[in-house]
Formats: sequence, structure tokens, C-alpha cells
Amino acid sequence: MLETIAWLVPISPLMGALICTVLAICGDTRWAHWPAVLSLALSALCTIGLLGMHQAEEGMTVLYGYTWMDIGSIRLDVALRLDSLCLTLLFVVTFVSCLVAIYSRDYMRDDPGYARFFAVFCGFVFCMTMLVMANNLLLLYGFWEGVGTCSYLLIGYYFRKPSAAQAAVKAFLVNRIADCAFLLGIILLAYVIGHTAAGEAASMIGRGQLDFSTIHAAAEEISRSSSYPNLIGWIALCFVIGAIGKSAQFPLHVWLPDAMEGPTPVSALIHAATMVTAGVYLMARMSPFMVYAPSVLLLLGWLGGITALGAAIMALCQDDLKRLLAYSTASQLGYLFMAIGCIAIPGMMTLAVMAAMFHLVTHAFFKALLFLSAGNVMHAMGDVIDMRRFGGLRKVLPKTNILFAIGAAALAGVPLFAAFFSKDTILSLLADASNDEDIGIHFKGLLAIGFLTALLTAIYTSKAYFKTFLGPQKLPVEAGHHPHEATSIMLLPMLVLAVGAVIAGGLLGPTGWILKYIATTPFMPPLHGEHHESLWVMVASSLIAIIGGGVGYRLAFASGRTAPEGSLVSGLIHFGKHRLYIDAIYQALIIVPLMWLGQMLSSFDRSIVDGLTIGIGKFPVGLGLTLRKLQTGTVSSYAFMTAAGVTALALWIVFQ
Amino acid sequence: MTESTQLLLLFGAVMFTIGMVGFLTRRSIILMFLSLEMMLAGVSINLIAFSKQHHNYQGQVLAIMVLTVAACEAAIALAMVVSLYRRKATLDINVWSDVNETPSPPVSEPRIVIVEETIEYPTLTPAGLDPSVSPIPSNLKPSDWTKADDQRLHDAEVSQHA
Amino acid sequence: MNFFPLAQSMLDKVGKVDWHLMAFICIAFGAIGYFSLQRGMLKSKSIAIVGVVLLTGAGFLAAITNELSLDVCVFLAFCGLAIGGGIAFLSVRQPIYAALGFATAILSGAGVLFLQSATFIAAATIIVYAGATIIMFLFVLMFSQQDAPETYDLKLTRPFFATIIGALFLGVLVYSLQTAEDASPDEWKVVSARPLSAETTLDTPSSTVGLGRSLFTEYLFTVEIAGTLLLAATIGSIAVAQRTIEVSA
Repeated sequence: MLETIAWLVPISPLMGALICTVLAICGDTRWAHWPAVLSLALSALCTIGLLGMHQAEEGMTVLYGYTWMDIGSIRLDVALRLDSLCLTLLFVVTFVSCLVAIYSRDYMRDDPGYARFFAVFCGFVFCMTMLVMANNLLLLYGFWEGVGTCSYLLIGYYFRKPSAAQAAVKAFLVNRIADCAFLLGIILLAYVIGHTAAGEAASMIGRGQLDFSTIHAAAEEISRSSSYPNLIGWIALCFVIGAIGKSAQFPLHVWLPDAMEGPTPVSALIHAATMVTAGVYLMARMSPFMVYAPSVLLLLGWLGGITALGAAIMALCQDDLKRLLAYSTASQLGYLFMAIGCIAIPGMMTLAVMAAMFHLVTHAFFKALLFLSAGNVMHAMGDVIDMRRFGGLRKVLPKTNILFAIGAAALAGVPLFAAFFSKDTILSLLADASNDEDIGIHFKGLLAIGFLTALLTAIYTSKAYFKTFLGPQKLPVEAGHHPHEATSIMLLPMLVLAVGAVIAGGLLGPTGWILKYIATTPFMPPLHGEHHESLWVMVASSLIAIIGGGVGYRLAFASGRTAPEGSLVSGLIHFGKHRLYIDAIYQALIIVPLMWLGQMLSSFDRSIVDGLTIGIGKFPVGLGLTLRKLQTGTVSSYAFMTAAGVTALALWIVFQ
Repeated sequence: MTESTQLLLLFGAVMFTIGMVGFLTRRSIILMFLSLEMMLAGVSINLIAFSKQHHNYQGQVLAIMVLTVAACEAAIALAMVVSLYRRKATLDINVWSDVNETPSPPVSEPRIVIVEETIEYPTLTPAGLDPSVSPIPSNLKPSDWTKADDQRLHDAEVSQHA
Repeated sequence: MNFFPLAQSMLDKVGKVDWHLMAFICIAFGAIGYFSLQRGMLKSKSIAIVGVVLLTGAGFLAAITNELSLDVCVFLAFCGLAIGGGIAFLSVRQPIYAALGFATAILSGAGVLFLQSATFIAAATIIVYAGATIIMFLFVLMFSQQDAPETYDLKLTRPFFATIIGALFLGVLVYSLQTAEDASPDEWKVVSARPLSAETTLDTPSSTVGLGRSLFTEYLFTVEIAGTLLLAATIGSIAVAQRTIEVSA
């Protein structure tokens, strides 16, 4: 029973994808949402069933599918692994994807590629669920690539628009870089597990070489092995690069803002709730392994911190609502990685993973809600999303107003909303970590970054809300005569998400429920004692939220006064608008030389290699044409040739 | 190889080379065939030289065969020349160049005309009168000559030299 | 081709060659050939006459001072005459005169053959070459060229290259003459059915007897084949020279 339900979770979106592909080939634009929504709903129900059926105290259940590879010392199976870490994220993925699918039925209506959208959507959910439930690192990598591909297909959904096509390619290529590092890490790990005594002993536990149980068991031996002293650090670094590529952290964050070219449901699902969390999930899965590489974890923490702060600054200077939300996603993911960085301190692994997963869950809810609200605004304003062109929409879009307010409050960390609890968990974790002797100083810095980012988050979130919904009404030309509120089919999922955004934090955090739940994951060290959140952190973050809200209110209605030219503020705004010039640096340093190299090689290939080949072909022709000229037809020239030949022959014979 | 043999062989080589150069240079069919015959003559001289050196008749017999073949060849060659001449009315070998790879339009060569040098020999002034312009009829007998005829003759001479 | 051993063998053979003679022959041939071919002998009659006189005088002087025997003198005279006729044949523009030069060369060659006791061959040469062949060629010339020399007589084909090829060829021949190694005397003797007797040696004027005997005993087949060849040539030349018969409608 458990097995059937567990396999149904990925298989039903796969079926939905296949049916929608057939419908897409037939050119359907009206019925494609039924297989998609139904399959995703089935998947969500099965997840809830799994949550009920899987007893937390059992640890983990491995469901074996079939043997993928059994070559020599390599053995890889397609198997599902169910434990609490997996089920947490699985619930988020299936639930949010079902809601977004219902929403996009009305959002994507009358679009010619309707069925294609749902086909790739379901394909994405299939890959994501398999990624979450994979028992095997290589299988996880396979579906990691799968979600990357589906993301590419969905970002480039409006492929006839050049900016959308370029954004899709950019996302794919940046992810490719990260995936190469990830694969390198997997290969190194496979090698070291297969060739050391640690691996031999550990393979007795799991069935295959790259099963998570094997990796977790072999981790300590590898870290202490004398033949490969620092290998675990290098492997961990490779995994970190893979994670930051998928989760859009500095320096591989450049694809996320451009990914907003895709339709809004895509942004809501993939780039807010599910795909970008895959990096965090990988780190959480591999945390028993990464514990032995503290310096790499510290690096990861700092990268997360840099991203959080940088993305918040960039979001502050944005006018495009969706891009603002994208930067905000990157910033919140930075928080998650800062939490993961705390694993570097021994004994804090369980807490860190728990904090990260908590914030991940709440972030999924309110970010999806925010994106869907932005979708409503865009729909009503005739696809205009530039905040300077509309304002005061509270009368036009009353329900969206309330929903956006809930989401914004959650994001800013207003007390008692969802993110208040989860963000506080992370901040108090950082405060605890900064008490450590050796590396506590790093976490002090990260804590400061965390507070500053929280302030900036509150500022830009409230600024966005006030500017869009409050104040004098201003409609752009494209809105038409009477911009209308979203239909109830679109509003219903948003309502569910809003409920989640409000209560999820309070429900999971202070009750300690998620803490105990995550702690039952195998290989997590058991908790020692109770964990209390520090009070001063809570007070500080509340104050920050309120102050930020006020500042945002001021900024939203101070549109008449711009910063004086040449001052520091206007310089910072300029930097922020141009994405801190990181994109420009990448373009100049990496892309332009590579394209130059490509052109050089192409012209080399065309001129020299092709020239050589064609020249070899032309050589007999040329030789023949030259020799043709010997046939003159006159007896005199033939006589000359004969005489010359005889003379030459005589010379050669005589002088030989 | 004795000295005399060497000298004879040298003579034969020279004859052969002259024939070869003639064949290469000449453009008239007849003269090309003549230079062929000269080559064969040089070869037969070589053969006779070796016959002399080796003191047997082999070289001479072969020279007779060479002579025979030369005669046959000359006969057939002339028959061919006659039929070629009938076609194109010229003995130039270069008109027969149709079988070639680079067909070029026929170049008409300007006909070279040898202008005989006319030598201007120094002349004397004529002592007498040109008979065709003489006022006196040529059939006049000297016994019938009168003084008036003398005067007319003198006047004509003066006017001629004026 | 490996050039180093080639050069080595060339240098080895260098010592055996009388370079002066070779150079003289080649250069003389080249110069005479080039200038005579270029300019023809239309305008150089006087030079030719002077040259002949000088050469004859030089020859006499050489003969007197070096004590040459008479037969060598005659032989050299005939050689000179033959070569003069050959040069004339090469360079003269009028085809009839060229044919006469050819005849001179052949007759002088026959004279040389007489000196080598090849009396029959000499006579046959005179009859066949200087008689039949020349007469036939002259007939054809006469009926095909009625007036002044044509263009193709006056302009020669690439005289410069022809002279170079001729000089090179002559040089190679002379070189090989001087550096040839003698075969052993045993290889000279021919296995003949009839041993050579003293009175039929070639040194006597009556070598014709021995030649006839040899022809009709040892080389009888050759003679018969030669006769058949002549017959075939006769019929062939009649066939080639026939006019095509036009069938009138």
C-alpha cells in the first residue's frame, strides 16, 4: 500500500505530462488543464497519505524500483527513499504545484501553447518529486538536470520573444556550469567510495555505491583517510557550486532576474517555491557528509550572506514588480544558505537543517502567493508590470490587495505572520553560532548581514505594496477601459496559499513540531536538550519590520523628490538598477572572450581545415589541368618532348 | 675502343644530332622527313664503325636492313605527304593540329615576302638621245641626213639635258 | 634520388674525360647551330666561304705538321664535308638548297663508308638515299612549292631550345664515348655457322664477297623479310596516295 502510494506521487504527474503532450501535438487549447490538474491533485493527495502513513519513528523507508546499472564495482538502483526531510519538501512541492496549476488554468487561457505549458509543467513536477525522493546521488543528479531542462522550456515559453529565448538560454548555461561541478563532485565521491576501505565497509549497508546511506556512512572514513587528505573538502566544494547554481546565489545568480520572462505561474512555482530550493535540499541531504568540511560550509554561509545583502540592495532599486520579487527570492535563499552554513559548528547540524527547512516551507507559501498576486496585477494592467506606470489599485483589485498585503507582511517579517517565526529561527541560530570559539566571528558578521537584509526586505516590500495598491489611482493605457479583478478560479488557490502563509509559521515553529519531525531523519545527530529562541532576536526583528514598513511608506510616496545627482545614494541606486554591474563584468570577462575564441576556431575550421580538404580535392584537378596543356596537337612540340626526354634519360643513364 | 672507331662514332653522333636538330626545327614536312633520313644515316655509320671494330659482318647486315627500312619509310611517307598536300595545299606541319586539348583559333601568319635588294648602280649620263624620243625617224639613212636634221637633233639634246 | 653518390660517381668519371674536346665540340655545335639557325645562310655566304677556306687551310697545316697519313686526311675531309652539308641542310631557307645540302652530307658519309671497307653499304647508301630518296623528295617539293619560300620554311620552330637539346645530347654521346669501358674480346666474336677466313676480312676492298656470302647463308631469313617489307611498302604507298573516288549521282 505504502509502495503504491509512494510510486504514484511521481508517476501521476508523468502521466499527466504525457497526456498533455499528446494534447499539445493535437493543438488543443481548452482541455489540457484537466489531466494536469487532476494528476497533480492526485499527487498531492498521495503525499498527504504518505505523511500520514509514514511513521516518523521508523526513520526511513527505501522502496526499491529496479536496477539501473550494475557494472563492475558500480551499482546504481532506481529507488525511493522516504524520510521526514524528503516528505517535508515533497508536501510543499506537490501542494503548491497543484494550486498553481489551478491558477494557471485561467491565467494561460486562450494562449496557443496552452497544452504545451501544462505538459512541461507536469514534467517539471515529475522531475522535482523524483529529485526529492531519490535514494541515490546520481539519480538525484539526473532529475536535477531534468528540472533544469523543464525550467528552460518554461522560461522560454514565449520563445518568439527574443529576450525570453535569451533568458532561457542564460538560465540553462549558468545552471550547466554548476551542474558540471556537481557531476565532478559525484564522480570523485564515487571513486573514493569505490576505492577505499571505507567504501567497502560502507557498501555493506546500502545496496549501491552512491546511496545516501552509503555516503553518510563512509563520510567519516573519507575525511580521515590518509591517501586523500583534503578530498572531502574538494568534493564538498563541488556540491556547493552545484547548489549555488541551482539556487541562484552569488556568483551564479545572474539567471534568476532574467527568468522572469516566463509566465507568472512559472515564476511562482519554479523560481519561488520549488526548483530554487533544490540546492538547499541537496545541502540538507548531504549534511552528514558536509559536516566534515567546515571551511566549505563557511564559504557557503558567506556566499549566502553576500547574496542576501546584494539581492536586497538590487531589489530596492527595481521598478519591475516581478524582478523585485525575483531578487527577493534570491535574498531569502541567501538566508537559507546562511543557516546551512551553521552546520560547520559541530552539534548544530540538526538545528541548522531544521531552520533551513522551516524557512523554506514558509517562503514557498508566501512567495508563491506574492507571485500569483503580481500575476493578477499584470493580467489586469494589460501585461504592464512596471510599478511606475500604475498605482492605487486597491479599488480596482480589492481581493488581490488583501492577498498581496498578507504575502508582503509575511515576507517583511511582521510579527505573527509566517516568516516572522522562520526568519527568527534562522537569526537566533546565527546568534547561537556566533558564540562558538573558533569560527563564531564569522557568524557574528552573518548575523549583522541578516538583520540588515531584514531591514531592506521590509523596506522594499512595503514600498512595493504601498506604491502599487495605495495612493492615487493611476492606470496605464494598456489596461483598457475597465480592468477587472481576477476570476474566482484564480483567487481560490491564492486564498489557500494565504491561509498557509498566515498559519504555517505559527503552526510549525513555536510548537516545535517541525523540529522534532526533521530530527527523526536518519543520520541526524540527536538533539541535546531543548532549544529556546532568544527573546532579543524576536524583539529586534519586530522592530526592524515596523521601521522598515515606515520607511517604505515614505519612499513609496516620495516619488516627487529624487536623490540629488552625484551623491552616494544616487550612485548606489544606479548600481542597483544595473544589477551591481555583475552581469556586465561577466559579459566582458567571460562571454566576449569565449565568443571571440569560438569565432576564431570557426574561421580556422572554415579556412584552414576546409581549405586543406578542398585543396586536396582540387589538387588532382589542378594537376590534370596542367598536364592537359602538354597535349598541344602539334608534331613539333611532341618531337621536342620526345627529344628532351631522350636527352634527360641519356644524361641520367650516363651519370648514374 | 680504338681511336679510329671513336672518331667514326663521333662522326656518326654528329650526323645524328644534326638530323635531330633539323627534325625539331623544321616546319616543312619534306624537310622533316629528310632530317629523319639523316638520323638513319648517322645510325648506319655507327653500325659500320662497330662492324669494323669487331671484324665481322653483323654491323653491315644491320646497316643494310636499316637502309631497307629507310627506303620503305620514305616511300610511304611521301605517299602520305602527297595526300596531306591534297587536303590543305600546304606543306606546313602546324596546320595538322586538330587533336589537342586547348583548341585555339587558327592563327594566320603573315606571309613573309623576301624583297630582293635592288642595287642602285651608278649610272652615266646618256651620251646620245633616247631613240624613242628622237625627232629623227630611225629608218633614215645616213646619206639622207641634212643639216636641218642636225640642228633638230642638237635642239632635242639640249632640251633633254635642260 | 640520392644526389651525393651521383655527384661522387660523376666526379670519378670526370678524370677520364677529355674535357677540352667535349667542350669544344659542344660549344662549336651550339654556336654554329644557333647562329646558322637564326640567321640562315642567306646573308652569310661569304662567311661560309671564308670559313671553309680557313678550315681547309688549317686542316692542311695540321696534316703537314702532325704527319697524318693520307687515309686519315681523306677521312677528315669527308667528315668535314658531311658536317658542312649537314649545317647547310639545317640552316638554309630554300628547301631545294636544303635538300642539296642533305645530298652532300649523304654522299660524304658514303665516302666515309668506302674508307671503312663497307663498299656495298656505301654504294647502297648512294643509290638509295642520295639517289632515290632525294629525287622523290625533290619531285614532291617541286610540285608543291612553285614560287618563293613559304612562311614555314622561313620561320623555324624554337631554334634556341632545339640547339640546347642538340648540344646536350651530343655532349652526352661524346662523354659516353670517352668513358665507355671496352668489352672483353670474347664477347665480340659472333657464333657464326661459317668461320671467317682470312680473305674475307673487312680490311680488304673485297669485303663485298664476304658480305654477300654472309647475307645469303646466315641472314637469309632477314633478307627475305626485307624483301617482303619492301613489297608491302610499295603496295602501301600506292594505297595511301590514291585519290578518293567520288561517285557522281
